[in-house]
Amino acid sequence: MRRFIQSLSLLSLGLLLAACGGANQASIYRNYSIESSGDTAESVLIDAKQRAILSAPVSHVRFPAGQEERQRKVIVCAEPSPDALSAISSTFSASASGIFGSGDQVQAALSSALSETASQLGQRNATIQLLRDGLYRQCEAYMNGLIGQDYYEQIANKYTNAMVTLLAVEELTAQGAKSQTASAKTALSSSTDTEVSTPVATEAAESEAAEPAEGSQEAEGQQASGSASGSATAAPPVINVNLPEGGATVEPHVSTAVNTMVTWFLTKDTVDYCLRGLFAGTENKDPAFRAAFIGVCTEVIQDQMAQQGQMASAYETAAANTGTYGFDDCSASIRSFWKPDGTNINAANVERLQGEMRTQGVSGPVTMLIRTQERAGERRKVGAALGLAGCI
Amino acid sequence: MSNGNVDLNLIVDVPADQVEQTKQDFESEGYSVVVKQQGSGLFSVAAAK
Repeated sequence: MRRFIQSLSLLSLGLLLAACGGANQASIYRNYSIESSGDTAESVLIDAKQRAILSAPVSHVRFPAGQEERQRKVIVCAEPSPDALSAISSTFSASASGIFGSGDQVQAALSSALSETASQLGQRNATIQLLRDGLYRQCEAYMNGLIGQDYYEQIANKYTNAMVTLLAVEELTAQGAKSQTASAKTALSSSTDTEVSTPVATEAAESEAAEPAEGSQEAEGQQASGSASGSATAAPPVINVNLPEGGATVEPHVSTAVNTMVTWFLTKDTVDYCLRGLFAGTENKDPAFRAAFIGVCTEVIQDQMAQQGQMASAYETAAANTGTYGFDDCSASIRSFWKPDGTNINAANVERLQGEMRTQGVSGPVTMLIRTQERAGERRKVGAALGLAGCI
Repeated sequence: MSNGNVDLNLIVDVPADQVEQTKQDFESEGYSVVVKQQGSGLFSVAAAK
Protein backbone atom coordinates (compact mmCIF):
# COMPACT_ATOMS: atom_id res chain seq x y z
CA MET A 1 0.00 0.00 0.00
CA ARG A 2 2.85 2.38 0.90
CA ARG A 3 4.47 1.78 -2.45
CA PHE A 4 1.23 2.48 -4.18
CA ILE A 5 0.88 5.81 -2.35
CA GLN A 6 4.46 6.73 -3.25
CA SER A 7 3.80 5.98 -6.89
CA LEU A 8 0.57 7.91 -6.84
CA SER A 9 2.27 10.94 -5.27
CA LEU A 10 4.96 10.91 -7.91
CA LEU A 11 2.37 10.65 -10.59
CA SER A 12 0.39 13.58 -9.20
CA LEU A 13 3.49 15.74 -8.94
CA GLY A 14 4.35 15.03 -12.53
CA LEU A 15 0.87 15.91 -13.68
CA LEU A 16 0.99 19.21 -11.82
CA LEU A 17 4.37 20.18 -13.22
CA ALA A 18 3.36 19.30 -16.73
CA ALA A 19 0.19 21.34 -16.52
CA CYS A 20 1.95 24.41 -15.11
CA GLY A 21 4.78 24.18 -17.56
CA GLY A 22 2.48 23.84 -20.52
CA ALA A 23 0.42 26.86 -19.57
CA ASN A 24 3.43 29.10 -19.07
CA GLN A 25 5.02 28.13 -22.33
CA ALA A 26 1.95 28.57 -24.44
CA SER A 27 0.17 31.53 -22.91
CA ILE A 28 1.34 35.06 -23.56
CA TYR A 29 -0.45 37.82 -21.82
CA ARG A 30 0.83 41.28 -21.35
CA ASN A 31 -0.72 44.30 -19.72
CA TYR A 32 0.39 47.71 -20.68
CA SER A 33 -0.91 51.19 -20.38
CA ILE A 34 -2.20 53.03 -23.41
CA GLU A 35 -2.14 56.34 -21.63
CA SER A 36 -0.30 59.06 -23.41
CA SER A 37 3.29 59.38 -22.33
CA GLY A 38 4.17 62.79 -23.57
CA ASP A 39 5.56 62.79 -27.07
CA THR A 40 6.65 59.19 -26.93
CA ALA A 41 4.67 56.70 -28.95
CA GLU A 42 4.14 53.30 -27.45
CA SER A 43 4.08 49.92 -29.11
CA VAL A 44 4.13 46.29 -28.20
CA LEU A 45 5.95 43.30 -29.63
CA ILE A 46 3.92 40.67 -31.36
CA ASP A 47 4.20 37.09 -32.43
CA ALA A 48 1.70 34.70 -33.91
CA LYS A 49 -0.34 34.61 -30.72
CA GLN A 50 -0.29 38.29 -29.86
CA ARG A 51 -1.97 41.19 -31.54
CA ALA A 52 -0.61 44.67 -31.53
CA ILE A 53 -2.44 47.51 -29.89
CA LEU A 54 -0.63 50.63 -30.92
CA SER A 55 -1.11 53.98 -29.31
CA ALA A 56 0.49 57.30 -30.03
CA PRO A 57 0.00 60.96 -29.23
CA VAL A 58 -1.95 62.79 -31.91
CA SER A 59 -0.21 66.14 -31.93
CA HIS A 60 0.40 65.78 -35.66
CA VAL A 61 -3.26 65.20 -36.42
CA ARG A 62 -5.18 68.22 -37.56
CA PHE A 63 -8.19 69.01 -35.44
CA PRO A 64 -10.78 71.66 -36.15
CA ALA A 65 -9.68 75.02 -34.84
CA GLY A 66 -10.84 75.64 -31.33
CA GLN A 67 -11.69 72.01 -30.62
CA GLU A 68 -8.26 70.74 -29.70
CA GLU A 69 -9.12 70.44 -26.06
CA ARG A 70 -12.16 68.29 -26.77
CA GLN A 71 -10.32 65.72 -28.84
CA ARG A 72 -8.63 62.58 -27.60
CA LYS A 73 -4.96 62.90 -27.02
CA VAL A 74 -4.10 59.36 -28.04
CA ILE A 75 -4.89 57.34 -31.15
CA VAL A 76 -5.26 53.62 -30.55
CA CYS A 77 -5.11 51.09 -33.38
CA ALA A 78 -5.95 47.52 -32.43
CA GLU A 79 -4.71 44.91 -34.84
CA PRO A 80 -7.44 42.56 -36.10
CA SER A 81 -7.85 39.42 -34.09
CA PRO A 82 -6.09 36.33 -35.42
CA ASP A 83 -7.99 33.88 -37.53
CA ALA A 84 -5.99 30.96 -36.28
CA LEU A 85 -6.71 29.37 -33.00
CA SER A 86 -3.69 28.41 -31.01
CA ALA A 87 -4.61 25.06 -29.71
CA ILE A 88 -2.57 23.61 -26.99
CA SER A 89 -2.68 19.94 -26.49
CA SER A 90 -0.71 18.53 -23.74
CA THR A 91 -0.34 14.84 -23.64
CA PHE A 92 0.85 13.28 -20.59
CA SER A 93 1.73 9.78 -19.91
CA ALA A 94 3.01 8.61 -16.70
CA SER A 95 4.06 5.50 -15.15
CA ALA A 96 6.10 4.93 -12.10
CA SER A 97 9.43 3.29 -12.41
CA GLY A 98 11.46 2.33 -9.45
CA ILE A 99 12.54 -0.49 -7.35
CA PHE A 100 11.00 -0.72 -3.99
CA GLY A 101 12.06 -3.68 -1.90
CA SER A 102 12.77 -7.19 -2.93
CA GLY A 103 11.96 -7.72 -6.51
CA ASP A 104 8.87 -5.58 -6.55
CA GLN A 105 9.04 -3.27 -9.40
CA VAL A 106 6.93 -0.32 -10.14
CA GLN A 107 7.80 1.42 -13.25
CA ALA A 108 7.57 5.12 -13.10
CA ALA A 109 8.14 7.21 -16.09
CA LEU A 110 6.98 10.68 -16.52
CA SER A 111 6.71 12.22 -19.87
CA SER A 112 5.03 15.29 -21.00
CA ALA A 113 4.58 16.31 -24.53
CA LEU A 114 3.43 19.69 -25.43
CA SER A 115 2.28 20.25 -28.87
CA GLU A 116 0.87 23.35 -30.33
CA THR A 117 -1.20 23.36 -33.39
CA ALA A 118 -3.02 26.01 -35.24
CA SER A 119 -6.41 25.53 -36.67
CA GLN A 120 -8.47 27.90 -38.68
CA LEU A 121 -11.28 29.57 -36.79
CA GLY A 122 -13.38 30.39 -39.78
CA GLN A 123 -13.43 31.04 -43.46
CA ARG A 124 -11.51 34.17 -44.32
CA ASN A 125 -12.94 35.64 -47.46
CA ALA A 126 -11.88 38.69 -49.41
CA THR A 127 -14.41 40.94 -47.71
CA ILE A 128 -13.22 40.02 -44.25
CA GLN A 129 -9.63 40.43 -45.33
CA LEU A 130 -10.35 43.82 -46.81
CA LEU A 131 -12.14 45.12 -43.77
CA ARG A 132 -9.71 43.63 -41.25
CA ASP A 133 -6.45 44.70 -42.74
CA GLY A 134 -7.54 47.72 -44.70
CA LEU A 135 -9.15 49.55 -41.82
CA TYR A 136 -6.26 48.68 -39.54
CA ARG A 137 -3.73 50.03 -42.01
CA GLN A 138 -5.77 53.19 -42.37
CA CYS A 139 -5.67 53.62 -38.63
CA GLU A 140 -1.91 53.21 -38.75
CA ALA A 141 -1.65 55.80 -41.51
CA TYR A 142 -3.79 58.16 -39.48
CA MET A 143 -1.68 57.54 -36.42
CA ASN A 144 1.49 58.17 -38.39
CA GLY A 145 0.19 61.44 -39.74
CA LEU A 146 0.14 60.30 -43.36
CA ILE A 147 -3.55 61.07 -43.67
CA GLY A 148 -5.68 63.56 -41.80
CA GLN A 149 -8.94 63.16 -39.95
CA ASP A 150 -11.12 64.26 -42.86
CA TYR A 151 -9.47 61.94 -45.35
CA TYR A 152 -9.60 59.07 -42.87
CA GLU A 153 -13.36 59.52 -42.58
CA GLN A 154 -13.73 59.62 -46.35
CA ILE A 155 -11.84 56.38 -46.81
CA ALA A 156 -13.81 54.68 -44.06
CA ASN A 157 -17.07 55.68 -45.71
CA LYS A 158 -15.95 54.31 -49.07
CA TYR A 159 -15.49 50.90 -47.55
CA THR A 160 -19.22 50.44 -47.59
CA ASN A 161 -19.36 50.31 -51.37
CA ALA A 162 -16.41 47.97 -51.62
CA MET A 163 -17.87 45.71 -48.97
CA VAL A 164 -21.27 45.56 -50.65
CA THR A 165 -19.81 44.57 -54.00
CA LEU A 166 -17.35 42.05 -52.69
CA LEU A 167 -19.75 40.42 -50.29
CA ALA A 168 -22.49 40.13 -52.86
CA VAL A 169 -20.16 38.62 -55.43
CA GLU A 170 -18.72 36.19 -52.93
CA GLU A 171 -22.04 35.02 -51.64
CA LEU A 172 -23.49 34.65 -55.08
CA THR A 173 -20.54 32.71 -56.37
CA ALA A 174 -20.05 30.42 -53.41
CA GLN A 175 -20.28 26.67 -53.69
CA GLY A 176 -23.81 25.84 -54.68
CA ALA A 177 -24.47 29.14 -56.28
CA LYS A 178 -28.14 28.53 -56.83
CA SER A 179 -28.88 28.09 -53.16
CA GLN A 180 -26.83 31.17 -52.44
CA THR A 181 -28.95 33.11 -54.87
CA ALA A 182 -32.04 31.96 -53.04
CA SER A 183 -30.49 33.22 -49.83
CA ALA A 184 -29.80 36.52 -51.47
CA LYS A 185 -33.40 36.87 -52.46
CA THR A 186 -34.45 36.07 -48.93
CA ALA A 187 -32.10 38.71 -47.63
CA LEU A 188 -33.58 41.18 -50.08
CA SER A 189 -37.07 40.44 -48.88
CA SER A 190 -36.02 40.75 -45.28
CA SER A 191 -34.30 44.05 -45.82
CA THR A 192 -37.22 45.45 -47.70
CA ASP A 193 -39.55 44.55 -44.89
CA THR A 194 -37.51 46.54 -42.45
CA GLU A 195 -37.54 49.67 -44.53
CA VAL A 196 -40.29 51.41 -42.67
CA SER A 197 -38.69 54.78 -43.07
CA THR A 198 -40.83 57.64 -41.94
CA PRO A 199 -39.29 61.03 -42.71
CA VAL A 200 -41.86 62.72 -40.50
CA ALA A 201 -40.81 60.60 -37.57
CA THR A 202 -37.16 61.34 -38.17
CA GLU A 203 -37.74 65.03 -38.32
CA ALA A 204 -39.59 64.75 -35.06
CA ALA A 205 -36.66 62.99 -33.47
CA GLU A 206 -34.23 65.55 -34.79
CA SER A 207 -36.43 68.32 -33.54
CA GLU A 208 -36.48 66.70 -30.13
CA ALA A 209 -32.75 66.38 -30.27
CA ALA A 210 -32.28 69.98 -31.18
CA GLU A 211 -34.76 71.37 -28.72
CA PRO A 212 -34.95 69.37 -25.53
CA ALA A 213 -38.12 70.14 -23.66
CA GLU A 214 -37.64 72.39 -20.72
CA GLY A 215 -39.40 71.42 -17.56
CA SER A 216 -41.13 68.56 -19.32
CA GLN A 217 -43.11 66.26 -17.11
CA GLU A 218 -42.00 62.76 -16.56
CA ALA A 219 -44.31 60.01 -17.66
CA GLU A 220 -44.40 57.77 -14.64
CA GLY A 221 -43.65 54.16 -15.36
CA GLN A 222 -43.95 54.52 -19.08
CA GLN A 223 -42.37 51.59 -20.82
CA ALA A 224 -40.65 52.75 -23.97
CA SER A 225 -40.74 49.36 -25.59
CA GLY A 226 -42.34 50.39 -28.82
CA SER A 227 -45.67 51.10 -27.22
CA ALA A 228 -44.82 54.60 -26.12
CA SER A 229 -46.80 57.24 -27.89
CA GLY A 230 -44.98 59.18 -30.55
CA SER A 231 -45.23 60.81 -33.92
CA ALA A 232 -44.09 57.76 -35.91
CA THR A 233 -46.48 57.17 -38.77
CA ALA A 234 -45.41 53.62 -39.68
CA ALA A 235 -46.46 50.67 -37.58
CA PRO A 236 -43.51 49.76 -35.36
CA PRO A 237 -42.18 46.25 -35.73
CA VAL A 238 -42.71 43.84 -32.87
CA ILE A 239 -39.60 44.16 -30.77
CA ASN A 240 -38.84 43.34 -27.20
CA VAL A 241 -36.52 46.02 -26.00
CA ASN A 242 -34.55 45.38 -22.86
CA LEU A 243 -35.12 48.20 -20.45
CA PRO A 244 -33.15 48.76 -17.28
CA GLU A 245 -34.29 46.73 -14.31
CA GLY A 246 -36.83 48.31 -12.03
CA GLY A 247 -38.85 49.90 -14.76
CA ALA A 248 -38.18 53.12 -16.55
CA THR A 249 -39.18 56.70 -16.17
CA VAL A 250 -38.90 58.71 -19.31
CA GLU A 251 -39.87 62.17 -20.29
CA PRO A 252 -42.36 62.60 -23.15
CA HIS A 253 -39.86 63.87 -25.66
CA VAL A 254 -37.56 60.98 -24.82
CA SER A 255 -40.30 58.42 -25.27
CA THR A 256 -41.16 60.00 -28.59
CA ALA A 257 -37.60 59.69 -29.74
CA VAL A 258 -37.37 56.13 -28.49
CA ASN A 259 -40.51 55.22 -30.33
CA THR A 260 -39.07 56.76 -33.44
CA MET A 261 -35.96 54.69 -33.05
CA VAL A 262 -37.96 51.54 -32.46
CA THR A 263 -39.85 52.28 -35.64
CA TRP A 264 -36.73 52.97 -37.59
CA PHE A 265 -34.23 50.64 -36.13
CA LEU A 266 -32.89 47.52 -37.80
CA THR A 267 -31.22 45.68 -34.99
CA LYS A 268 -32.34 45.13 -31.47
CA ASP A 269 -28.85 45.63 -30.14
CA THR A 270 -28.74 49.14 -31.50
CA VAL A 271 -31.90 50.14 -29.71
CA ASP A 272 -30.76 48.48 -26.50
CA TYR A 273 -27.52 50.38 -26.67
CA CYS A 274 -29.24 53.67 -27.28
CA LEU A 275 -31.78 53.08 -24.54
CA ARG A 276 -29.10 52.41 -22.01
CA GLY A 277 -27.43 55.63 -22.99
CA LEU A 278 -30.70 57.48 -22.68
CA PHE A 279 -31.40 56.16 -19.24
CA ALA A 280 -27.88 56.86 -18.16
CA GLY A 281 -28.59 60.42 -19.22
CA THR A 282 -31.87 60.38 -17.33
CA GLU A 283 -30.06 59.45 -14.18
CA ASN A 284 -27.80 62.45 -14.30
CA LYS A 285 -30.68 64.73 -15.33
CA ASP A 286 -28.71 66.27 -18.11
CA PRO A 287 -31.14 67.18 -20.93
CA ALA A 288 -28.31 68.26 -23.20
CA PHE A 289 -26.73 64.82 -22.88
CA ARG A 290 -30.01 63.10 -23.62
CA ALA A 291 -30.66 65.29 -26.63
CA ALA A 292 -27.19 64.60 -27.99
CA PHE A 293 -27.58 60.89 -27.45
CA ILE A 294 -30.90 60.83 -29.23
CA GLY A 295 -29.31 62.54 -32.18
CA VAL A 296 -26.41 60.10 -32.27
CA CYS A 297 -28.70 57.10 -32.02
CA THR A 298 -30.85 58.37 -34.83
CA GLU A 299 -27.81 58.84 -37.03
CA VAL A 300 -26.56 55.35 -36.24
CA ILE A 301 -29.87 53.85 -37.17
CA GLN A 302 -30.10 55.85 -40.37
CA ASP A 303 -26.60 54.72 -41.33
CA GLN A 304 -27.58 51.13 -40.78
CA MET A 305 -30.61 51.56 -42.94
CA ALA A 306 -28.57 53.14 -45.69
CA GLN A 307 -26.05 50.31 -45.64
CA GLN A 308 -28.67 47.60 -45.63
CA GLY A 309 -30.48 49.45 -48.38
CA GLN A 310 -27.33 49.31 -50.48
CA MET A 311 -26.97 45.63 -49.79
CA ALA A 312 -30.59 45.03 -50.71
CA SER A 313 -30.11 46.94 -53.93
CA ALA A 314 -27.06 44.87 -54.78
CA TYR A 315 -28.92 41.65 -54.09
CA GLU A 316 -31.91 42.81 -56.06
CA THR A 317 -29.80 43.61 -59.08
CA ALA A 318 -27.85 40.40 -58.77
CA ALA A 319 -30.98 38.31 -58.35
CA ALA A 320 -32.51 39.91 -61.42
CA ASN A 321 -29.37 39.26 -63.46
CA THR A 322 -28.83 35.65 -62.56
CA GLY A 323 -29.11 32.97 -65.16
CA THR A 324 -28.19 29.42 -66.06
CA TYR A 325 -25.68 28.98 -68.82
CA GLY A 326 -27.17 28.36 -72.23
CA PHE A 327 -25.52 28.94 -75.60
CA ASP A 328 -27.36 28.09 -78.80
CA ASP A 329 -27.10 28.85 -82.52
CA CYS A 330 -28.67 32.26 -82.02
CA SER A 331 -26.11 32.97 -79.32
CA ALA A 332 -23.31 32.15 -81.74
CA SER A 333 -24.81 34.40 -84.40
CA ILE A 334 -25.20 37.36 -82.08
CA ARG A 335 -21.70 36.87 -80.71
CA SER A 336 -20.24 36.79 -84.23
CA PHE A 337 -22.10 39.98 -84.97
CA TRP A 338 -20.89 41.53 -81.70
CA LYS A 339 -17.30 40.30 -81.97
CA PRO A 340 -16.61 39.47 -85.61
CA ASP A 341 -13.03 38.39 -84.92
CA GLY A 342 -14.04 36.48 -81.82
CA THR A 343 -12.22 38.84 -79.48
CA ASN A 344 -12.85 42.51 -80.15
CA ILE A 345 -16.19 44.28 -80.11
CA ASN A 346 -17.19 45.88 -83.39
CA ALA A 347 -18.14 49.45 -82.56
CA ALA A 348 -20.76 49.85 -85.26
CA ASN A 349 -22.36 46.49 -84.62
CA VAL A 350 -22.53 46.90 -80.87
CA GLU A 351 -24.33 50.17 -81.36
CA ARG A 352 -26.94 48.44 -83.51
CA LEU A 353 -27.14 45.52 -81.10
CA GLN A 354 -27.65 47.66 -78.03
CA GLY A 355 -30.11 49.86 -79.89
CA GLU A 356 -32.18 46.81 -80.74
CA MET A 357 -31.94 45.60 -77.15
CA ARG A 358 -33.36 48.89 -75.97
CA THR A 359 -36.11 48.68 -78.56
CA GLN A 360 -37.01 45.21 -77.36
CA GLY A 361 -36.85 46.29 -73.72
CA VAL A 362 -33.88 44.05 -73.00
CA SER A 363 -31.52 45.29 -70.31
CA GLY A 364 -28.22 44.07 -68.92
CA PRO A 365 -24.93 43.14 -70.52
CA VAL A 366 -24.70 41.49 -73.92
CA THR A 367 -22.95 38.55 -72.30
CA MET A 368 -26.03 37.72 -70.26
CA LEU A 369 -28.20 37.99 -73.36
CA ILE A 370 -26.21 35.51 -75.36
CA ARG A 371 -25.14 33.08 -72.64
CA THR A 372 -28.17 32.36 -70.45
CA GLN A 373 -31.10 30.03 -70.95
CA GLU A 374 -33.48 32.55 -69.41
CA ARG A 375 -32.73 35.09 -72.12
CA ALA A 376 -33.32 32.70 -75.05
CA GLY A 377 -36.60 34.36 -75.96
CA GLU A 378 -35.19 37.87 -75.82
CA ARG A 379 -32.14 36.65 -77.69
CA ARG A 380 -34.22 35.40 -80.58
CA LYS A 381 -36.21 38.63 -80.76
CA VAL A 382 -33.11 40.79 -80.86
CA GLY A 383 -31.28 38.50 -83.25
CA ALA A 384 -34.26 38.21 -85.58
CA ALA A 385 -34.66 41.98 -85.66
CA LEU A 386 -31.03 42.20 -86.74
CA GLY A 387 -31.60 39.50 -89.37
CA LEU A 388 -29.10 37.13 -87.86
CA ALA A 389 -29.11 33.50 -88.86
CA GLY A 390 -29.98 31.06 -86.13
CA CYS A 391 -32.36 33.55 -84.52
CA ILE A 392 -35.03 33.67 -87.19
CA MET B 1 -21.09 51.40 -57.78
CA SER B 2 -22.02 54.26 -55.50
CA ASN B 3 -25.47 54.88 -54.05
CA GLY B 4 -26.33 51.22 -54.25
CA ASN B 5 -26.21 51.07 -58.03
CA VAL B 6 -24.14 47.93 -58.14
CA ASP B 7 -24.42 46.12 -61.43
CA LEU B 8 -24.04 42.46 -60.61
CA ASN B 9 -24.55 39.55 -62.98
CA LEU B 10 -24.21 35.86 -62.39
CA ILE B 11 -24.22 32.88 -64.72
CA VAL B 12 -24.27 29.48 -63.12
CA ASP B 13 -23.57 26.02 -64.52
CA VAL B 14 -20.99 27.24 -66.99
CA PRO B 15 -19.11 24.32 -68.62
CA ALA B 16 -15.38 24.36 -68.07
CA ASP B 17 -14.60 24.90 -71.74
CA GLN B 18 -16.80 27.99 -71.85
CA VAL B 19 -15.53 29.70 -68.72
CA GLU B 20 -12.68 31.63 -70.27
CA GLN B 21 -14.71 32.98 -73.18
CA THR B 22 -17.56 33.95 -70.87
CA LYS B 23 -15.10 35.73 -68.63
CA GLN B 24 -13.58 37.57 -71.58
CA ASP B 25 -17.00 38.63 -72.84
CA PHE B 26 -17.88 40.16 -69.48
CA GLU B 27 -14.51 41.86 -69.23
CA SER B 28 -14.86 43.34 -72.68
CA GLU B 29 -18.02 45.03 -71.39
CA GLY B 30 -16.11 46.56 -68.52
CA TYR B 31 -16.99 44.14 -65.75
CA SER B 32 -14.79 42.72 -63.04
CA VAL B 33 -15.21 38.96 -63.08
CA VAL B 34 -15.01 36.29 -60.43
CA VAL B 35 -15.03 32.62 -61.37
CA LYS B 36 -15.71 29.87 -58.87
CA GLN B 37 -16.20 26.17 -59.26
CA GLN B 38 -19.46 24.72 -58.07
CA GLY B 39 -19.80 21.45 -56.25
CA SER B 40 -21.09 19.86 -59.45
CA GLY B 41 -17.85 20.58 -61.28
CA LEU B 42 -19.43 23.28 -63.36
CA PHE B 43 -18.51 26.92 -62.81
CA SER B 44 -20.18 30.13 -61.75
CA VAL B 45 -19.13 33.35 -63.38
CA ALA B 46 -20.01 36.56 -61.58
CA ALA B 47 -19.47 40.00 -63.02
CA ALA B 48 -19.74 43.33 -61.26
CA LYS B 49 -19.16 46.96 -62.06
